[in-house]
Amino acid sequence: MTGSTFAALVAQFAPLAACAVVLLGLRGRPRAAAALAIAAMALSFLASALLVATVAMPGRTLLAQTVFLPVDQARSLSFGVLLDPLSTSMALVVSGITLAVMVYSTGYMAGDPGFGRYYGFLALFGWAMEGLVLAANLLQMLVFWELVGLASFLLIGFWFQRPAPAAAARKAFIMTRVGDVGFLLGVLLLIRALGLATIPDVVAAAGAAGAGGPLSPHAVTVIAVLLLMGVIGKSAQGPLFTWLPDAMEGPTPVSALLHSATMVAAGVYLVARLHPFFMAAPAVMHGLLWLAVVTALAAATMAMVASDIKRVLAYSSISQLAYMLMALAGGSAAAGYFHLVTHAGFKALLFLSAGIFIHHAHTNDMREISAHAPRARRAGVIGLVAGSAALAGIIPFSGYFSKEAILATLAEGGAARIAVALAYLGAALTAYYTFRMVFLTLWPERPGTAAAAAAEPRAAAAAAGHPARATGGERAMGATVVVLAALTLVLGYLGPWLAARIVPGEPLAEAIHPPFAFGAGPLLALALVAAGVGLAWLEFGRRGAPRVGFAERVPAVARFLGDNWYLDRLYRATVIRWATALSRAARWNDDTIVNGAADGVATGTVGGGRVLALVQNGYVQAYLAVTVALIALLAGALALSGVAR
Amino acid sequence: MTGLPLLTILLLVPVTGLAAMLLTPARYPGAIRRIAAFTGVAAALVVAVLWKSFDPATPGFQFVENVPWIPAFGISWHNGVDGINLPLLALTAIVYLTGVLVMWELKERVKEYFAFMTLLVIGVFGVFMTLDLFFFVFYYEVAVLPMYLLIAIWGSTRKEYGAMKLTLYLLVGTALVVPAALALYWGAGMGTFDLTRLATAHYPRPFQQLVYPFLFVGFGILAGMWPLHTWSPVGHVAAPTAVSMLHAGVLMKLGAYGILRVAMPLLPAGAHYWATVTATLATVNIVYGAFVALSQTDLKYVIGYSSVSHMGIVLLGLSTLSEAGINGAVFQMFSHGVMTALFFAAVGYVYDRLHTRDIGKLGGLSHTMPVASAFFIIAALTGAGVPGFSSFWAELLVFLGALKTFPVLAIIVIGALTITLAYSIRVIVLTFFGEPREAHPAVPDIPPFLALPRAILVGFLLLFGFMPHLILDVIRPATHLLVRGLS
Repeated sequence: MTGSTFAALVAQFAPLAACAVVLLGLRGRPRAAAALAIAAMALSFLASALLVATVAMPGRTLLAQTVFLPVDQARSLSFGVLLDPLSTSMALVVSGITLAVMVYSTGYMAGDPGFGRYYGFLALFGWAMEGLVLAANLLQMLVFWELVGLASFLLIGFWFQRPAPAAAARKAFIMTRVGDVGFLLGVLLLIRALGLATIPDVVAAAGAAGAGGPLSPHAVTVIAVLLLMGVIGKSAQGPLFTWLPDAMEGPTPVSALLHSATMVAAGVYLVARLHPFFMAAPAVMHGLLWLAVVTALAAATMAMVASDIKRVLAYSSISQLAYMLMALAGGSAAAGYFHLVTHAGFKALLFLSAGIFIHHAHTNDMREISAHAPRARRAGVIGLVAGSAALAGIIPFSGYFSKEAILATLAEGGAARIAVALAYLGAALTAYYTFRMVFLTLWPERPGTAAAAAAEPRAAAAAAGHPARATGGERAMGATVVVLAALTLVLGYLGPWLAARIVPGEPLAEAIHPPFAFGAGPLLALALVAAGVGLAWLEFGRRGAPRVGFAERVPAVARFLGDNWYLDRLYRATVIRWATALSRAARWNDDTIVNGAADGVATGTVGGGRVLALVQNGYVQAYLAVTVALIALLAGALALSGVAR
Repeated sequence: MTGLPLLTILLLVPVTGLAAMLLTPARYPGAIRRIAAFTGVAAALVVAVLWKSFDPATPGFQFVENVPWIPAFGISWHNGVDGINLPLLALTAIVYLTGVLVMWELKERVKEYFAFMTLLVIGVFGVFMTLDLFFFVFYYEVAVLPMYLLIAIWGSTRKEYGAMKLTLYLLVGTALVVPAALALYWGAGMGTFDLTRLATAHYPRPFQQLVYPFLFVGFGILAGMWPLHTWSPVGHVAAPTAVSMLHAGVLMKLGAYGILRVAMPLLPAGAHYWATVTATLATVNIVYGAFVALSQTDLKYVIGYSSVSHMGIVLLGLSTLSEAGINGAVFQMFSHGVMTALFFAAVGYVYDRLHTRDIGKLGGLSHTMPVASAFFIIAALTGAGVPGFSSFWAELLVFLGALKTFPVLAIIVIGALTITLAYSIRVIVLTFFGEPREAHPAVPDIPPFLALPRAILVGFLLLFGFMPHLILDVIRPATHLLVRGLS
């Protein structure tokens, strides 16, 4: 075992060990549980950093596998690690964000009765995601993919006693399973064709498709579609996105984790991981591009009317994930992955900043938060503003660079004109809804309005109730946010480095411009962003602003956008209803028809027995009477026949 | 291989335990419980020795004991283990031991209860170890009949009905198996009941095609084959906790084992001829069972139908007649046995304390009894195919096998995983999450002694979930031989 492999194992199994110890022995000892989990995650972070230094920096690739599961005499499935710049840098992102969330949670979750359990689940999440990222083959990826789903279920439903989180957890698990069914089938088909779906083999097989390789071009297309089903479910795209806004019922740090580097990122990561394979199915990629464009715009419209700060951020995640997939479908793994990295940083930052306000105001509603003196939370303000600037794509925050890379990829990669135009439009909408959130949250209601009158006493109470000195936990929350805020100014310069190492020689790599190269594309994007921010300022920021957005003015439109475009209603009215009806019918059939038939046979047998039992009733008189009657009958018959003869 | 007749010793352990229980006066229930637990531990130890000394590299049967018993009829005391029945013997020992511990608080007719349960286990051990068709059928009956009394005396919810239904169904199975067994005996014309010799008989093709359905359906009833499965959920619901554990955990495996040990090796052409039909029936089992489970309101009915669905996976794996599929099927027999035992043990605690299993009256149990609830949740997640628990691998192997032989059925079955997850999560969320829907007396969480047997079961699920090769290395050589014989 080489040093790098060992480091990869440490990065994965330190959180697992912490998870096991915490869940088995430390649920009643919150401080010890948190300390152990954080220590394990820090170890994982260090191991990942070591991997980046030894593997990613020099641009090496390492593959080590060992037999795990014998299938039959000839074949067996393996587990191992695939270390290359993509996997190791992602491992660093995952462990870094998870660590940040764990540190932050010491403050946010302080005093929760399930504190120990919470850290156990977080460690489980860390293990699952590290395992997924470092997986050497697709079966292994599938295993951790499912474990990521399990961890999300447990964490979204962490406050399981309340009905809403329980329902949200259930929805997330089942909805992503719908996509995972396709993923499983795709992986099984690959295993069947290739014996062992090692990632480099899969990529190579797609390259050789049609040239006598083990996969035909048709098979590549089918498998690509199946794998994408999993991606669509996990990364909350297209028709399967509605679980994600509901998942906001989980604790806010969990949302930060779920939306940045784990869970939803898994789908995008898979596409980046197998990018050459997917590119071998151009028709599928074309479809994915359009799906992503529609998802990005649709989610942006939903974010424009939400009044819950976490829902705004949830919709923005869906939209930004769609941007990543657009880049991948448009041909650039580097640009998509670049945005994944910067997004992980600023989206975690945004959720954690929002968490600071929510923690103090005890509400998710932006207008109510604004009544609780939000500007007193310095770290929260810094985080929200820096994160929003990155999300909106304002230069020089990280999101600007990565989003610009995506738009340039689309424009230069030959995507349809209209798709490119819609992607630019989405950038303007992003800036609009992001700054709508900033203004609604941080600008208090103007005096004189009804909302402000209602808010006044609450603000006073909030100010009075707040202790003068921050606790240790609150300091941890603030420090985490400030560190992540600083990162939004750094991560944006990673682009060219990533492009050179992730996919050396990718044709579209030059679309990732050096940071400050202004051409027509960047200027157009910046102008659109400025327009979006300006509109938000007019409607929400300036003195005397109506604080009602253009999309919110028509109630029907606002309802439609705010209710996930009525998709949930559609599902309830169709798929869920049909499945329930089918299930009831099956139960009725089992109780009445199948079981009824069996009981009928039994009843018939018993009834038949009763009738026959009458013959043997044990009364001698009856037997005699029957005998005499029979003899008489016989005699009569004989006599009659004698007479007849 | 040791010189000791380990298999006969394994059978003698519960026989001795039964004798000791019968000799102990009924006024000492504590002593009887201890004898039962001691018997369970001893059986588990003997199985552990078997597992330890079993050499997976040696093909064929090991620890073979072959003594003529009635030479005139060709009946002999012939026992042996290979990779197929060794995991099942282990499963039986595990479920018996944990079942005894789970029933530690039983008050009513303690002596008779543990005696009947031990008798049942003698029968199961016998079926799993014998290589003689006569003894196979004999032990099969020994295992089935105590079930009636166990359910009818100690059961709940419509217990007489459930007990009678179960017994009648199983006797219908016998009525199909016995004539088929006799046909095998006469048809071979070798004057022997020895399964290893009958396997070399090469019955004529029409004979195989005619006899195979008798055996498949006869044994299949015991494995919960659709549409002859309804005895199983009804029986589970009526049975007391440990009997449900044995019933779903072990007894249903007898059926699948009969197909695997008798029907398939003796009638390979029959197995091939009927494979599509049996695979289709298995698929119906899986999908139909999952749908019915989705709208049940009694926790035990949910588990009962989940068993119907999961046993369908076993039958599908067998029907593929491929190594991957049969490996998966044998693994699934073990894994499902442990999982469903855990299910019933977990529900048993809830029912003992709250006296209801109605989902509509429960809710929020994770708050009041977190550990007891965790056991059920783990079982449900295992059933839903979450990796980390053993069933994931077993099902994966079956899917791999099925995808090759019956691609369409495999796609249907994989699609049905959504329903499997839906009913598992539905039960978790409705029963253990949220708030209680009806007021219940405050009950404490499960005490450590009662948690122990459940924890043992969880341990096995995790052990083989993280290290599936531990069991597959044992299973694989045996299925390799079997599949070679099939082709």
